[in-house]
Amino acid sequence: MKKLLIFIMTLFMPIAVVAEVAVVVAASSPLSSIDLKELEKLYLGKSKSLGDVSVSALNQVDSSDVTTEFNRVLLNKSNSQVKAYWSKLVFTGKGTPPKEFNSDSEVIQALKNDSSAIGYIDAGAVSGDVKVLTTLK
Amino acid sequence: MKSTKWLVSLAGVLICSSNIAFADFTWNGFLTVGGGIADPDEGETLEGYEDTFTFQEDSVLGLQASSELSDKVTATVQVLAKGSREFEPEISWANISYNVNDDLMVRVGRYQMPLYLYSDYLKVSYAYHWISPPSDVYVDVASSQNGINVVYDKSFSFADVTAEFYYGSDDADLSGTGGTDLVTEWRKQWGLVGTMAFDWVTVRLSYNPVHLTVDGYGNVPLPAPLNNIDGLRAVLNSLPVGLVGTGASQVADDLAYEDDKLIYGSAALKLEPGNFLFVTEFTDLDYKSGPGADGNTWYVSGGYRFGDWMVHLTHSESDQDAADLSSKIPLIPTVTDGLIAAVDGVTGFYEIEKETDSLGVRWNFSPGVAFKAEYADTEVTDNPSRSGKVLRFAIDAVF
Repeated sequence: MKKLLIFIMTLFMPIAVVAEVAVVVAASSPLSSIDLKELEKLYLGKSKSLGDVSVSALNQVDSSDVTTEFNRVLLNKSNSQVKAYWSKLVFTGKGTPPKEFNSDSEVIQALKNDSSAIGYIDAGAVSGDVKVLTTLK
Repeated sequence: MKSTKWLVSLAGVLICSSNIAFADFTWNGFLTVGGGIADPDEGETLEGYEDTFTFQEDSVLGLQASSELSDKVTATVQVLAKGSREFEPEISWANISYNVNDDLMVRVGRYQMPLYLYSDYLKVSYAYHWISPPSDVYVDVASSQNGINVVYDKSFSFADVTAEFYYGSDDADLSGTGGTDLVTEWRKQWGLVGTMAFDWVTVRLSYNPVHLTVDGYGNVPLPAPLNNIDGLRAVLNSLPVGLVGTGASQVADDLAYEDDKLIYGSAALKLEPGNFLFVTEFTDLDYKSGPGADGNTWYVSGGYRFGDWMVHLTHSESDQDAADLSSKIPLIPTVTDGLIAAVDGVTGFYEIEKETDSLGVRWNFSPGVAFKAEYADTEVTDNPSRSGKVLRFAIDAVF
């Protein structure tokens, strides 16, 4: 009976390996540290800078695991909640969500082209082109 | 020969178009496909639904194009097509905004008025938990206007603060209301809105005065021999002052919407601790003159979110009291009692006592898409044809 119970419980355990999210900037970026509260405000469109540095935030598509994890850990919201949040701002002309990219490599490429941008990628995809400011888990 | 001509003109178009620098547009849209069925206590329709499934009342399409003309200037146009208005496209937003700095935006043109908590995105159903905000509070009237709108939005360490000011005007054609062509003219319409959000607590207050004139109101039909409201006014004006004093002619003046001042106010509180949602809003409508009914409305809604699901309960009420105009007319049996009753009939038209309880569920089944179902029980005092039950479904998408 106990074995059966354990077996049933394991069925409901999350099997997906949760991605570790690296918050990254271009290797040439002036940023070297980050305040998570400021990062949250940046990604919710409430501010456009980190400290004194003007920054543009880059997003990844909703369907990627790294986005789900980023939204959950940093913003404490589900993807749908984030989408609902932005639709309030978009359809009232009060804000535009961060630009979306399809993959970690696209984010890295965009960061290479824009040293004032910040993004997030799967910690496993970090390359020499980018600088990791923090890891969210 | 024909096809050659066609090719030449196509080539011409292609060459021309390659020379035109098109503005870079961002397109966004929202779509709600809703359906429902009603069980009125009396009659066949309720809240826009019938006793068989129909798929029009809650269906809405919104399309928005915006273009950044420069770092600081953006042009935005939003077109709305509502099933409740036969999908006739209307422009809800068409404005040019100027970002003075990161915190201050000024826009001119057409915009949605921020009367209540959910007014800004009233039709973007995906943005909230209901299929539509409680209809006892959010009456479906034209809510866009033309003018200026100033939005100050700043995130402080203690709270996110939004302060908004607007001023403008609008004309709305209410043809079809009681078979009479009515045009409402909203003038000197301005408002102040303040919102503060502290972590999971949001507080909002608004104050919105406006002057209203209704063209064609005098033609609203009344039983013979008065025939219409203008007929009633004419009789009131014809009564000898020696007999009824000046009261009757004052009432005749009051029986028209002519630059009548009214004030909308609202207060809202929203709490979102963890997976709970609690939201309540109170509104007050005060006519300073004219035949319109003063009233207040409110709702309270609570919900719980588990994963992609949310269950919510809402109670709402609307209480409109008829304006008291007839007491200015002295009661003289067989002379004025019929007229007093006629005046009371006109002002009483707006009187209503209504309450609704609803139970709903939202399921976010795919990014940007939600399914919703809602069961509502409405009761209008002494009016079984507006009381009853409605079951509604909707699929919301934003793109």
